[in-house]
Amino acid sequence: MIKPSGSATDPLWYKDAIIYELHVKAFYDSNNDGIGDFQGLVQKLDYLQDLGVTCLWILPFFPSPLRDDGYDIADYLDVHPNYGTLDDFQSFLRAAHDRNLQVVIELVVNHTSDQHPWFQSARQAPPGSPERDFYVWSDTDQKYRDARIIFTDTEKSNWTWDPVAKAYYWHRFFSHQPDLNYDNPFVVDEIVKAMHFWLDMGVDGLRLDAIPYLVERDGTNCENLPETHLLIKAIRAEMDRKHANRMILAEANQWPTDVRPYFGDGDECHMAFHFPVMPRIFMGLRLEDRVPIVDIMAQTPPIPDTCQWALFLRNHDELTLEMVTADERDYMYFAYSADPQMRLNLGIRRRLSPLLDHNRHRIELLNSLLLSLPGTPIMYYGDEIGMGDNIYLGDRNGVRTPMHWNADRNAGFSRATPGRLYSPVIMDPIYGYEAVNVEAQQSDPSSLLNWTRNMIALRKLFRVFGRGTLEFLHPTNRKVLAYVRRHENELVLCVANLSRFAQPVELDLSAYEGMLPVEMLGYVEFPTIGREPYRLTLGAYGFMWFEFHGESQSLATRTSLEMEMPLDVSRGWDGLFEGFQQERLEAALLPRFLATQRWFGSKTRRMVSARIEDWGPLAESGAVLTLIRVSFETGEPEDYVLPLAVRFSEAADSLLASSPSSVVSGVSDGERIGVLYDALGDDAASMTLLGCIESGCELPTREGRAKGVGGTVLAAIQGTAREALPIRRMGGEQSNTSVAFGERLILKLFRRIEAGVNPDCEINRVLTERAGFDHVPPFAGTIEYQRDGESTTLAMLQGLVASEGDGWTGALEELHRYYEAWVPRPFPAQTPDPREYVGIYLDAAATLGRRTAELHLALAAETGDPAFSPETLTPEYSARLSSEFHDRAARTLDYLKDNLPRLPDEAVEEAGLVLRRRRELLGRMQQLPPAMGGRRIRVHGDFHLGQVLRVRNDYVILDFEGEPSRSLTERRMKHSPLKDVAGMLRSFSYAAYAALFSYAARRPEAVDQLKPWARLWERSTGAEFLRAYRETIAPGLLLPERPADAEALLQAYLVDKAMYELRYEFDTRPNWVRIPLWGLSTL
Amino acid sequence: MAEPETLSPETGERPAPSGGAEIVFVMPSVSTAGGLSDAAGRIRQALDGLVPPAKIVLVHPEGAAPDPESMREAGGPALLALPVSPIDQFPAPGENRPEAYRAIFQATSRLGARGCIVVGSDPATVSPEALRRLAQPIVEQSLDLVTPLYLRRRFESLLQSGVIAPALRALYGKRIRFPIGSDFGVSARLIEQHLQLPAGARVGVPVWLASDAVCAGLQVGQAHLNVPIPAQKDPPEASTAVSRVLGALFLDIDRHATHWQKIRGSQSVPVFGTGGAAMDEPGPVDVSRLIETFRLGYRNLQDVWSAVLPPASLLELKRLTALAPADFRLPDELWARMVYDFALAHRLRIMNRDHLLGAMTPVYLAWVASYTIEVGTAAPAAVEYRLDRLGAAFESQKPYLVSRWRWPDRFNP
Repeated sequence: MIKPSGSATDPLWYKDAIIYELHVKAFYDSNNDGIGDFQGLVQKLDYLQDLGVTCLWILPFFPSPLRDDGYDIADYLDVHPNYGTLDDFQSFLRAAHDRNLQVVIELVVNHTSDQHPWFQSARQAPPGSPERDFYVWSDTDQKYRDARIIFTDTEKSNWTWDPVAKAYYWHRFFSHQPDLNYDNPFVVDEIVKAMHFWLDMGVDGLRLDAIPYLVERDGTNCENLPETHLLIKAIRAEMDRKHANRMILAEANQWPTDVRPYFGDGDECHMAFHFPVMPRIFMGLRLEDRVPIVDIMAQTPPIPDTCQWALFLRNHDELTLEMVTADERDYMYFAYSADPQMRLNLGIRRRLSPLLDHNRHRIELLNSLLLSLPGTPIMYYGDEIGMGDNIYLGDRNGVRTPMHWNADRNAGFSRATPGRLYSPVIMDPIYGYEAVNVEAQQSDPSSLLNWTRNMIALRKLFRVFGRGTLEFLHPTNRKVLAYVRRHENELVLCVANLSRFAQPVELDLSAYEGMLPVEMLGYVEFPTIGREPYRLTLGAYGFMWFEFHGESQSLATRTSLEMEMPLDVSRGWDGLFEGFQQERLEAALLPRFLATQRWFGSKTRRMVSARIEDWGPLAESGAVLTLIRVSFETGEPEDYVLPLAVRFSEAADSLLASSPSSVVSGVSDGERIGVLYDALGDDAASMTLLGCIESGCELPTREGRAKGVGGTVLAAIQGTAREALPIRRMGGEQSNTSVAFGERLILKLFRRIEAGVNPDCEINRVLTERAGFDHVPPFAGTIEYQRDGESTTLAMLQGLVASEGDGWTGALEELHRYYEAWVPRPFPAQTPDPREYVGIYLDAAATLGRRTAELHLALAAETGDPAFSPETLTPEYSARLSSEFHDRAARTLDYLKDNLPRLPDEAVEEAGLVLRRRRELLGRMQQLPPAMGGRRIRVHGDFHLGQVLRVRNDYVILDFEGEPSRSLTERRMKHSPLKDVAGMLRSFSYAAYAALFSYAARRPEAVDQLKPWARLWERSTGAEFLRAYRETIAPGLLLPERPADAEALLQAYLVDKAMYELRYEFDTRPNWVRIPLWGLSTL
Repeated sequence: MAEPETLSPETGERPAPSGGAEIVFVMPSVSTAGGLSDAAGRIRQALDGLVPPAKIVLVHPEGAAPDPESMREAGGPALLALPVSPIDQFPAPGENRPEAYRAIFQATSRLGARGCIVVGSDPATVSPEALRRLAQPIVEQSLDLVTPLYLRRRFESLLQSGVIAPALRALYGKRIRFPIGSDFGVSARLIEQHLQLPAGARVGVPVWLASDAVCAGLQVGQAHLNVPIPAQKDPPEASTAVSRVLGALFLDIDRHATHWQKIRGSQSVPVFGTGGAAMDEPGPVDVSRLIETFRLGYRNLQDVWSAVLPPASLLELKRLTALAPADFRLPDELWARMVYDFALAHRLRIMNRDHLLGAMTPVYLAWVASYTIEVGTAAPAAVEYRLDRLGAAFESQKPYLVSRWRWPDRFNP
């Protein structure tokens, strides 16, 4: 059977809806009787469509004595004559559907009016008869004593004596609203009939009023009973049996955990109001503190995928304070209802704008939360223009006054005599209809109405608001509320300033590094997200929504015709590097190419152009050497070196297939199609670079020259054989590119270049040619670019070292064997002999210690070169070092403290231990002896197991380049050799725990058992390394004279290194943050 | 208007293949028996080894009187006549009508074909290789729309080059050189999607063909046909052409607003075949009349332009009116922003849409004049690069469109 569906085609339409709540009587009066009606509502549907709402929730319009604004229903199957006829309702329904507006009506299931024929029959019928049992009767008013009274201002009991029935009847609300008895199956049948009546007509959804109270049981509070849920499931099943794409919205003014069961397993209500979030939004605003909002959302349980929360700021009732604590309620009364007349029951009977003191910024802020927190927003009629209220009208009538359409009589709502209106219109000077009305705001481009319309349109653009997940951010400034919403490929960040003053905020967006936030209202691109905290400043009550994009737009915009419009190379390189072809290359092709290269360092910066600063042919190879200056939107430009070559036809196809990332562009020479590509993939170009060093030749460029310089050992490395060496490209490098020639030589092309002395070349050359240190790859030559009297190193040639892999990989392999061997065994009670357990790796550590010391001695050897001459470790230097270390440690510990909630659970305990040691750790930094002696020398600077190669039970030390992000001057500074020692000791610690993580991934239960084993390995290898280092270095004067001073300096370096690691891991690999934490807790 | 019955067995010279068809060819410009036979031969040759002739259907207008005997001897393709109405309505180049598209799409759908190839150019000029390039991506590579790449003269099809192509590139992120060309191939997927829409949902110049495909996540490619852009028999007045083409574009922008606002950057689409030699180019063009029309528009259309364009653009236009023809340059970014401003005004209905589009004609002619002067006698590659820069300008100004679309406040720079 095909079930008739409502007007929506998507079964989950309510998730994307913007619901507008209105009362027919208050909207527009078409027959001038002073009461709004359905024909009038039809006339205003264009307004609602233009506003952008997608669903109308119509308050009760059924026949009723109207003692509770229609919630006291006297006939479920008709329309109150004040509002029109059933035909009028059907006309309205069609007209709404024609405008793609869904319609939700009320199904008041808990009670009826005492004027309903069912009640009139019941009170006359004999006790025990089906008619009598339509309601809940008792001979005493003492039953169900645990049920609270809801309308405390008007009702003293939930029982009222009926003199006709001569019994008490049960009512949870007003005494004229007797509760239906759902233990009577006839009642269920009648309510289901009423439901089908309206759904058959085409109504899209039903709001089930007051559903927690449907069933009563003695000994309970008569709320949320299991029998109630069975009843709702039955109603839902009946709905699904006959109708498709309809929705049930539950009104259950309860805590989220108590509302959750009303969703069932997706088989009870589709939606439910989230009552507690509403007062907490107001509370958060007044307190200027996000905690109330974050707290209640944290208490909100997950709901089935087909279900949805309904959010609102205001509605036809009072701002209910049932779901807050007593203190919170008192605060809210003080904050929002200075006049006791504003209070009603447990709430505040005010509209949105008066609650916010008519402040436009506050109204916009709260609406931004309504539209962006998870759920479907419900807007109350009139709030879109900032309508006011009348607290002197009694009950909740003050927020149910006629809609303000214009400044004419009766606010344009009705042409009746003002006295006939069902309610007076608002007439005060601030909120009166002459000041606040639709017509005026439609003609005012800056009006709240136009703002609201734009915001609704914006929300509707992104499904993420209705369907996405929620993740709060935790900036230290609690006046700022920030959260990320995610749905499929949509990712949105919402930031709101709850304060009346401008606020700065730092957001941890490192998980979105590289993404581009675009402010959604103005489509304004913000800086790309990096690892550092993302800084924003928000104006008073300001809010910002950002959509995240995966790539920088500026580059994509400039990207040009790519392969479909090849560059014309028929006029050679000259023709390529001039005119519009050069423009294409610099504006589009090169930026796009660079952004995809592993060696390109500034991927998160916004590139503007990549200008070819200079170029020249690479001898006879057909390739050229280009020097490229990359400019960014902000910050300093960077220079890169890029050899380029061209291939055609099959060779080009082959390159496209094997190495597409090396292709810059398509080219054509008029006859053939080919590619322009990175010539380091070209053998001839690579041989030319090698030949340039071998022969010491010059390669002239347009603006300067590149000159090859051979090292003193080059000839020895080459030997006498002159056969062509096979060429292969090395992988795995981050910032450079290397080409190996046979098993003899390796050419490292420094991609990012900087004028001045390259420390990698400089140190390798000194160690090879002056110090005779043979535990580095021998320096064999360099290519220097010279222009305007400045020299820049482009490439370095070294002897190729045959190795068994790097030290890091070797340590991990060794540790894997170690854990496998000892995990079955308990850690020995007595202090174990490391050699018995760690074995021969201790020898490896000792060897590495010796080589490290020899390296330092070699670097300190007197050569007459001031760049290498050792310098005394002066008290001034010691003080500066102490200050730097202290400041860095203090900043890191502050960061750790502020971000504790972000830590993985298993790391929190260790973080606590570290924070407890704050004073001790900082003190250690401040206690560096001022006159400890020792020397500052050139050091490796970035020394760890990944920087050494294992070569036949020995080590060769690599890569003296230093940290590429630092300037050459910084990278060439002198330090105590203990800096390198600390680096390697921390590397042993990293290896021990990284291997433990790896092992624990398969056997998580073994972690605690393995920790002492990891500690044993780390400490014993470190100790052996240190022992050998000290023995070897002893003859020199490089370390502080007194062992205690040397130890203090080493400890300071170790703590500093661990602090650096802590911050790095926090921002990049939070799961690894335990490694530096373990280190800091035991150092 | 009731939809015409698409296929009429009584009028078909050969019934549709009993096992259905794999590919349907439509050649609306073929109107003679000889032309039909010749076209059939070309199609057979084009699809040799790709689709058996018996699985090809060539749809033609009634009355073309093919020679059934020779077709039978040749073994295909099958011929099917569409009733007179839709074939007669099938557009001449530049006169596209949605009913005709729907008719041929329905025919293709009913035959269960994998796709349909429409050849709006004179089939006698289109090589079998070019026909194959239109069909093969649909049949073998699961593409859904193959648009043409023509041999283009530098001043031809400027509405397409100067507005439609760059706007679609910016909006939908696909660089399609001739999105509304008369020769194209469509897949059954795209056809089914189109047929699910109510009749009349897509009207006017078929800008929607490419945008619907992209928005549905379908694949688009381009095929070098190595023929000139088909000439229009009776080219309309500039204002009529602007109104038709840009009216269709603006409707399309409104229709897909939720989609294009989330697309950033642009990508090339696959290109099949290689381009041929450049066309003979005309000499310098006198643009004085274009500039004069623009100046006239500036004097007479101030009210309209003031309602549509922000003050900075109006100031730029004012400066433009004072320039000598040799210096007359309308910057790409300004042109792109003005196209976007008119699109927004069209959406907001700030005035009668016909009047709005009419008021855009002088602005368009100003761009044509500027482009014509700038391109002059440039080489084909330089012209393509120039148009590529124009596309990049539309992309760079897209945030302007998005921001105005989301926040259509008149108070902007």
